Amino acid sequence: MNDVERELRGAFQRRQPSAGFADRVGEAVRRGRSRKRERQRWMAMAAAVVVLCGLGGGYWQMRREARRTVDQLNLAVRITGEKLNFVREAAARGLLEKNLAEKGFAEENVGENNVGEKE
Amino acid sequence: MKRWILVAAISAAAAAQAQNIDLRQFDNLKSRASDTVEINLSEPMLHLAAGFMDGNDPKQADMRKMLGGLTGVHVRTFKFNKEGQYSAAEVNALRTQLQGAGWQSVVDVHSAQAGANNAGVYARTEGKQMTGLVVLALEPKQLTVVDISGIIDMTQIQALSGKMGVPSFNAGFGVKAPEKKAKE
Amino acid sequence: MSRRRSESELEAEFSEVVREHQAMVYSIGLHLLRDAALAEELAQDVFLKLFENRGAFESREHVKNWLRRVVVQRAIDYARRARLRPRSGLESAPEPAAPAYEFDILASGHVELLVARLPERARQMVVLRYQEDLEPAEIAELLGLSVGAVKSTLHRSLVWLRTRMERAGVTK
Repeated sequence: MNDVERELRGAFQRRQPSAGFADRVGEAVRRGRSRKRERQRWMAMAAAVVVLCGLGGGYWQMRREARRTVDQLNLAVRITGEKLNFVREAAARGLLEKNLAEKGFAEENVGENNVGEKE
Repeated sequence: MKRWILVAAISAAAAAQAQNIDLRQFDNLKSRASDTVEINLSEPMLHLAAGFMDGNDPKQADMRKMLGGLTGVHVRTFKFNKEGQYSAAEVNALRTQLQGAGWQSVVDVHSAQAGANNAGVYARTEGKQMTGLVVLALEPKQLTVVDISGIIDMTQIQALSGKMGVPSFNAGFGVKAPEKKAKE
Repeated sequence: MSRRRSESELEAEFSEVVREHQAMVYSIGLHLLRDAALAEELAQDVFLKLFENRGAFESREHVKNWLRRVVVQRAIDYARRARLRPRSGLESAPEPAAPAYEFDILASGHVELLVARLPERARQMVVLRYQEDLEPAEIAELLGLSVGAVKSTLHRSLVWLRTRMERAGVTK
């Protein structure tokens, strides 16, 4: 099995995620921590403004709506990015499998009966 | 137990104005889905959001730039507990809408086989501008449609890759005005 | 982590841990999920979980083993949600339209595609064995299986892979 194991070790070398990954994780950590503090701050401020400025409700509502829209937009961009990658992967998989088929690799599925674990 | 996440809803008439495809055909999927994400962002909402972004923050500035020409962003994601909850006919009805004037199929991975993944990216160009982008991801237990309209610059969308919680992606499907060269 | 740290010290130390292990976590996710974006999302998820549990670790080795266990477990959930199971055969492969661009097909694409056809458990074992160089006993402990089951599955996987690789001209 040495040649197969060699191929597998070559294929499964570790790869780095995209540039800036550690920074993004750090940001996500900070966001999570600051979100909680910010929520408390916003609630306190909103309560104070409502009490002090009777006409302040319109602006704050618009601001809240804007923040909600930004969150929705981020989600939309995130889904778009995920699905663009999905399309690439699906097409790449199709091309690879076509290549394999042309090489005579007419493959049946590896069912659980062929390679499976014995509990 | 079904969970329906309604992220934003505006009147159907207003929403329909800035959509490339009629997403109302998928309304009947909501009852079959275990989870639904529905996003409807009209031009006024996008401008409102852009107005509240911090132009000094480089990441928000990228988002603002992207929003500049958009007139609508609509997303539908339906997740199902089992396969076969949407039909080939429903999918084909959607694809038919993307065969009109100006539309090109940039990538179309299409299988009639049950249980296989289907996917596609479709773009509409008017002169030198891309004015419509539809991304379709059809999985056995999930269906996602992304519909973006307006003046679309894919480099600006690509600039958001890996930022603000958005995973890294590659938008380079060579989507372009006809005379430009495709780029990755 | 017994003494009280400032936030910036904590974040700097955590950032160091992320950089040390990010390739391992990401690659396990990538080879199990076959989706780079999903693998990054999974990796970020795992590291956030690590941060939440930061008080529970006694050593770097403890962190590493925990990360391996969690990323494998989470990959199962992600795969189920994303429906990235092995294909049912070439006859079901979609007929792609000609794309408007050239793909960069991975140099090791054939091998990875073959491994992607293995059942989920077998695939996990192959990745842990040949990416992480874990011994069967370590894999068994990580996955909660018997050593015999791991050895048996690995052996049958290699036999299956060898046949297909030879046929596809990947090995002689």
